[in-house]
Amino acid sequence: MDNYFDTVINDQIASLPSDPARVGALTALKKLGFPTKRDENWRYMDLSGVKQAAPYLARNTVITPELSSSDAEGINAIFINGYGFDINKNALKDVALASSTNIHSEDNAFALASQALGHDGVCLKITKDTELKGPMHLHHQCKDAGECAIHLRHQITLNKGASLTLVEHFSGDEDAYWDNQLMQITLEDGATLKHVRLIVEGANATHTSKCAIRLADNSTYEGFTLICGGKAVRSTSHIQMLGTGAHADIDGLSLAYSGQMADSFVQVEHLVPGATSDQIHRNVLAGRGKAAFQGRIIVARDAQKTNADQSCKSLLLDRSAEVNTKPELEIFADDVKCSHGATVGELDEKALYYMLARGIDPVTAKALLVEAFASGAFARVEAESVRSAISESLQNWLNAETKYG
Amino acid sequence: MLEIKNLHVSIGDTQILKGLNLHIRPGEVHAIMGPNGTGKSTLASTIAGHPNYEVTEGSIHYQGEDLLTRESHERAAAGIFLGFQYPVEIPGVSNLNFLRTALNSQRRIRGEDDMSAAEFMKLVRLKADDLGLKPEMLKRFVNVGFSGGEKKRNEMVQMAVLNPTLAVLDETDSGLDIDALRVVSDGINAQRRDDTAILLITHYQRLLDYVQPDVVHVMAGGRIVKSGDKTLAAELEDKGYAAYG
Repeated sequence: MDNYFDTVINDQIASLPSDPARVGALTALKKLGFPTKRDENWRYMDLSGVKQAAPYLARNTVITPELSSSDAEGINAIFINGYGFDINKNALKDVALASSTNIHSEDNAFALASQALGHDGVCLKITKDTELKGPMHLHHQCKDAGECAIHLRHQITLNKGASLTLVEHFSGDEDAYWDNQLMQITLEDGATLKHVRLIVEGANATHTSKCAIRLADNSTYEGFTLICGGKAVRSTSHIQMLGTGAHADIDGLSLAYSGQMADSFVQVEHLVPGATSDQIHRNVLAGRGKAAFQGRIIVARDAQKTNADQSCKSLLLDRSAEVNTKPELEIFADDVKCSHGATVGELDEKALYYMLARGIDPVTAKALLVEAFASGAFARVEAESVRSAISESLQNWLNAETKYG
Repeated sequence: MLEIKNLHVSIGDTQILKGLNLHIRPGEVHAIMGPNGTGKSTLASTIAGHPNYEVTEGSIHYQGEDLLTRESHERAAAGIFLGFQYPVEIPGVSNLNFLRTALNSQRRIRGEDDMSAAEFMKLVRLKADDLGLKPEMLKRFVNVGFSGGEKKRNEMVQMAVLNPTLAVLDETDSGLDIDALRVVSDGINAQRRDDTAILLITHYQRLLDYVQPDVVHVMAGGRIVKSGDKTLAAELEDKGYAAYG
């Protein structure tokens, strides 16, 4: 790692298709360096996997992508080890591919690394008043990549009045890869994006991703992020409310058992008057699992009539589990409604006993209670196929948790 | 059917049941009455297998088998139903999901196949209708936002669907108005058959006007101190528990 910023990173960038955005990002990244535990925004995250994997860029290997039939509905794009495979062009006839060069600048080191070293993932524009039928799925899979860094950068713009449901699936094998992705989203006036992210990385993986979302007048962002796999996962959402009447839901569910760490960081900036945002976050921790939730709401001096809420509830299934929740409200306007609340609790023993007394076995009873708690985080996800994908991931996590704790 | 011998039960360091004996045969309805704090609810919880209650001495056999070696859910699958004095609210779990999971979990423990969704819905709608529980209540979260009467009605629907062989009803009549009491009594009477037994725990004679017991027991100081027929209940109502203090 010592010579990473001096030589390794220069070699890495030289091996990639040149583009001016890389150069600017590289300069900024070199200046900033990678964060450490001393950085307040990163104090809970385990970055050891980043250090190990950063010097090695993922290589393009020929692997046939596999999709289970349940994923087949809608439009699918597959990325294996960061290399794009297939995108159904016919289904995208209303969609214009955008250029990746007008990427917005970033202030987060890993987002800069995606800009400097990433391949272009999905770069698209949904044209005015277009509604894409069925969800668009992006499958990010890691296979036989070894210990390496996977950088990807995506850019999606929804023109005036356009709407899209975007579902991202992150998964991988047992290798100690580092999956680092940047998603920049621009919602123009009246556009609507439903964005679901299912982060189910492999057991030894480190994941850092950032979603930067800019909302214009009367646009809507409905986001939900599930974290239930990976050695260390950090999801950063940066929401900028730039238009009056804009609304953002930024919901999340993090599940972690021993050997898993789920770190969510959400920053919502209300920069104009009359926009609203709401965050519902749930953490479920088992064994020695760890989670963190940092939720920052910034209301600028001019952003009167802002309505911003935040709720973070955590359920500890074992006393050895750990959760850190940190709400931060920075409010500079005086006519706003902002709220935040955080609770930490254990399973309701009375409810558990009630279920046992009705003949429900202890494993099922616990699963029902955990599901009941967790489902509060994705109550706003409407698409049935997406809801069942979330439930399935939750069930798999519970089964694994029962086995491995 | 239920044979309890010399039962001693404690919570922590406090001894609550001190040598209780009880024998219930199939087809019988027994009522246990007595002042507060004599261990009536402890008996109900111990039969159901609540983990906080420690049996220090004595035995409970159900249909010839040692009940104390079994866990709560296994006891339920063996046919024991505990009606709760304070039914628990479970936000996020629908009544239907709860009941169906319970029914199929019991069936699996007994080595039976799951009941199909269609068959289950037919059964639960029929029982809810019998007991005057509105169909929309089935879709609500378990007991959340239910009135006291609705909670007890819900207990009766659960009992009717799970169809136990022994129902232990812990002050199911408490806090009910006269209409709700009638519904609960109907539910209990519907469960009364030659092959089932019912143990009612109650403070008041009131319920026993609707559900005629075969045997009435008076409990005091952690044991049964007197047993008799239904006239004993009337006598207690008249004279109170002072004589058993």
